[in-house]
Amino acid sequence: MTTPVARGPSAPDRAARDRPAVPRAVAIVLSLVAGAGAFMLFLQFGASDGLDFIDVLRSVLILISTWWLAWGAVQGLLGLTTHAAPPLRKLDGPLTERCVVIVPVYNEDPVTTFSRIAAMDESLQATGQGHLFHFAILSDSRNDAIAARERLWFLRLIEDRKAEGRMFYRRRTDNKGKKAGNVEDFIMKSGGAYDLALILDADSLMEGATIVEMARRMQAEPDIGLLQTLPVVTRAETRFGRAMQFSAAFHSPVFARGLAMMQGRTGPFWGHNAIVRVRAFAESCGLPELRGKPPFGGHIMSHDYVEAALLARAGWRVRLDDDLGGSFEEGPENLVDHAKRDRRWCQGNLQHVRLLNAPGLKPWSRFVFFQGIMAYISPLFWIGFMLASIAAPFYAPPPDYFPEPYWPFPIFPQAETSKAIGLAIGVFGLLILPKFAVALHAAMSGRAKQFGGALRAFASMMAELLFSSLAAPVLLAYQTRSVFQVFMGRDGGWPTNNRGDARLSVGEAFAASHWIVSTGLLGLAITWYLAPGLVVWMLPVLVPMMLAPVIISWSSRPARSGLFATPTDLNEAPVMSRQREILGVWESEMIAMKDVSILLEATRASA
Amino acid sequence: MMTNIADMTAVEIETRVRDLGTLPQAPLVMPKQVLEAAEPLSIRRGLRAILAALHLGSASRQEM
Repeated sequence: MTTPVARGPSAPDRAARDRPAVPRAVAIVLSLVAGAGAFMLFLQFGASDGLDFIDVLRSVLILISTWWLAWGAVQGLLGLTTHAAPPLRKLDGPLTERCVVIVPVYNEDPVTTFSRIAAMDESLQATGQGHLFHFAILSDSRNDAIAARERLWFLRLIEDRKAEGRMFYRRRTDNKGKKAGNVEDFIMKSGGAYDLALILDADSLMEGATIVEMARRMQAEPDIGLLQTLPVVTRAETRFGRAMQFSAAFHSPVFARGLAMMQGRTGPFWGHNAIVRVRAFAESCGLPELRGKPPFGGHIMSHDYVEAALLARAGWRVRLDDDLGGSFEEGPENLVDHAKRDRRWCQGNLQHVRLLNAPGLKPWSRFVFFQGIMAYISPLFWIGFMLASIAAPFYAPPPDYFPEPYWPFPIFPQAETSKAIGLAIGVFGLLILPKFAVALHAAMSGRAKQFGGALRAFASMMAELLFSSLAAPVLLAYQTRSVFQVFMGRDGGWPTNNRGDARLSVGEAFAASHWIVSTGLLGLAITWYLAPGLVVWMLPVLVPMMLAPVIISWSSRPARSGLFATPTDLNEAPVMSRQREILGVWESEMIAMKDVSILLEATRASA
Repeated sequence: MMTNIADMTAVEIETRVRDLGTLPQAPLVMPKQVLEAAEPLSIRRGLRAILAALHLGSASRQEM
């Protein structure tokens, strides 16, 4: 089980978090050196048969791509140099600030969502501080049948938890501003009743002790506007879900620590499992609609990044406390659901182009926007590089074996293939080196025990590496399509998260990915025709694309092996066990509760 | 109580939820923030700003 607060070395590690200049400089310099090294190597390789425009273009594309990979790698390696540690300042005296736990819902299954609220409330009451916490369920559900079930199960929740006057429910008549608008509506109408607000997602689950500790930290340090936890992905059942869950549990804490070292007072907000100071949020985070229409105009989609930037702009501190355990969420269970969520995030991040120049933002906040944009457009640089490489033979000048006048013997161009191979190894190293470093660190520090031991953790990491290598071209294809859709002005809307059965047949997977298969086949044919020498280099990208339906379908099936064990699998948190029990009871009573008849009644009424 | 809930019609449930679940009234002002610069970001303006920072831009005309 993850304890609410990490133990161990604190003062030096924690104090270092407040001095981000050195880690930032290290990350910038190292990543730029890696990018420049790749640029020089490729330029020499390209110049071996005479330097031309296409060589320079490819070298620049390699520079950008390598810099971006190195930036991520350095973040991970920086994270290995420190430990998760609680803050130096602690609250002396009792917690007095009043907190509301906000649960925005949007066409979710209320039985599951409200069982989480019941479990969290039980966990909070067990701390003895439960009287300071209220729950507000903020429904934006557009489906009347689901809304009717929400009301039914809200009454059940109130009854079970004896929570009259502590738990509230309201449904908006419109969805203005989507999730950000939903929270804003609450703050404007009821925010004055609370000092703090814990913002959750419908699939969030948190230990009561963690919530109380967050509130205590907020009270102890009045300059903090927002405190973000590092949510752990749980309850994945499919091969895809479990691989992602393992990766998030094993690698993310280290990368998050690296991030925490660089961000200083300008930390992240990921939209949920974070606590805000209501007054600070109200004063600083009223989001305007951007000029123009979606996808670049209209309401701000990835509002969380913007709210973090606005809090920092107003002088509030935004902090990631990665030492806090007991914070959970659930993730997509198959590749298609992942791609759907990513489409939304893509549009939200690209929309931040409009905000790069927003007045008064901290430089780091602007850089965070830039990072978010780069995360989505970076595949374009790789694709550009591949296309330029296919075209390169047509631009290469014919070889000149007699460059020296009056010299009767031919001079053969120096073979520079070793430089290209070295560069490929270097790029691959940037991708896998941080993961191996994290595995080594986990084995040496004993953290691997939480993942079933060093051997099992290493096997899981290798399996995840293999799977993510196979899935990466498919994911990148979806990502690239999303980027093009946004650039072409197509709004992705606000689709409901699929939290139901994740299994996809090969036929369903083909329907969702036939264009990836076609693109892969076309790519292979073109490469074969124009640059047959490159076919071998392109296969690691093109084969997974051609096999996309198989990869998607296979990975959406339940995982049965012992791989990908995470700490929450091996030692479930009490709040998770309790939620499972409550959900079991509620589901068994659905007929007695007339849940189905309510659903039918509502469906008939709305028809 | 569970039986009571089960016996209620959808309308009765809605009324009861309104009675029990209404949020406290405690309004707060949430002013809209300024996020868009008066002049939108453009590559030309960005380059001009970089040149100016490096003292490479053309000097602004001065009255003689």
